Amino acid sequence: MDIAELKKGGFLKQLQKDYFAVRLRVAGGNLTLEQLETVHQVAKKYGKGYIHLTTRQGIEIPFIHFDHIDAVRGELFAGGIGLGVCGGTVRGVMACQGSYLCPHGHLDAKELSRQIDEQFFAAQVPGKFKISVAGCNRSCAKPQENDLGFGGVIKPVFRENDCIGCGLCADICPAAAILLQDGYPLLDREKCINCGECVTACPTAAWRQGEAGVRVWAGGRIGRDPKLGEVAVAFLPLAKIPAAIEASLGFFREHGRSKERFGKVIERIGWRKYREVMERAVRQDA
Amino acid sequence: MQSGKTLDITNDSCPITFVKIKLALESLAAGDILEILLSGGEAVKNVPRSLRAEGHRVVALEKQSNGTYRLLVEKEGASGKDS
Ligand code: SF4
Ligand code: SF4
Ligand code: SF4
Repeated sequence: MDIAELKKGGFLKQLQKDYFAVRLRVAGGNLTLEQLETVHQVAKKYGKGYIHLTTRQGIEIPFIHFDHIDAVRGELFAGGIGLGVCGGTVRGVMACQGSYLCPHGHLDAKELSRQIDEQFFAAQVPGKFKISVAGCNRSCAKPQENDLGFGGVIKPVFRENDCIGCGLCADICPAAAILLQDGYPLLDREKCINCGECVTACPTAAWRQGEAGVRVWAGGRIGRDPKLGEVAVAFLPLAKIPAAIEASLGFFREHGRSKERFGKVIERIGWRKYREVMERAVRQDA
Repeated sequence: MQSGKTLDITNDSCPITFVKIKLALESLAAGDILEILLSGGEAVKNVPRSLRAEGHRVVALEKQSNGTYRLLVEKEGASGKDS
């Protein structure tokens, strides 16, 4: 069994001779209790009495001996857990709690991370490729620290009959896009950043969620040369997300050098070019 | 509008705000009005909206000159609106 093959499959060579830390495939930071039970059993049987939580909502089981690699893989699979990946691949997809249970959420981040994981996990690219999904622009899942990040955004719609003229929406709008006129809010769509704070805060639901989408950040990373991602698409309809990811991976494959980070590639080739590729992909994909 | 209780939570933050409001509402009858004084920022963004989400009716919300807010909420369960 050669090390390169091992690496692809989520076995990270440890300092200790013949020992590996096994990286597990986790999407959106959630595991069922059954999966957790499997992790527990495998770690107990083959590991060293503990597991490691990674910074990206993943799990690694350290101190798996070389001789047990096949057994560990088999027992994890049987218990519904895949192996993580290393190297030039799409890594485990992160997510915050999202609209499923967070009052601020405008996007079911867990569900989207699951879908992205299903479609793109382990896809081959020149360098590591990290994706994170946040339910709103509060960015708890740090989408800006990832090669590609998504954050829930919405277009607010107003129903005048429900408004009690309290002015709260105008007070709290971070973009100053709402002005009160004769006691009623008036929206400047040019200024609106689609954060949805007005929808969340309005005590009578006069502001409601209209079309939902995501903001897309690209080129973020930590590592040796940390940089926050930049906004690649300000409002991307939900249905276009797969096309946007596909286009980004395509751009990376076409222009990236081995082990180069996505953001570096964009900076080298140019943001204008990358944005063009994204726009084209998002437009033509019906 | 019948006068009810006043609850001042301007010095509290989540989740104490919610616990205090829950207890105050429990001591009221359906249709009673609770007056809540709350601070700006996160409290005013979250409290009125979540009261509504729990079925109560937000009757009024006014910003005070000192930056705090005065919220009037009608306890859920009343048939129809104020008569
Ligand atoms: S990013 Fe938004 S939706 Fe996600 S946990 Fe934070 S506040 Fe909630
Ligand atoms: S927060 Fe809601 S009720 Fe208050 S002014 Fe804005 S739309 Fe009207
Ligand atoms: S969505 Fe955000 S930016 Fe747009 S009007 Fe509402 S609070 Fe303001």
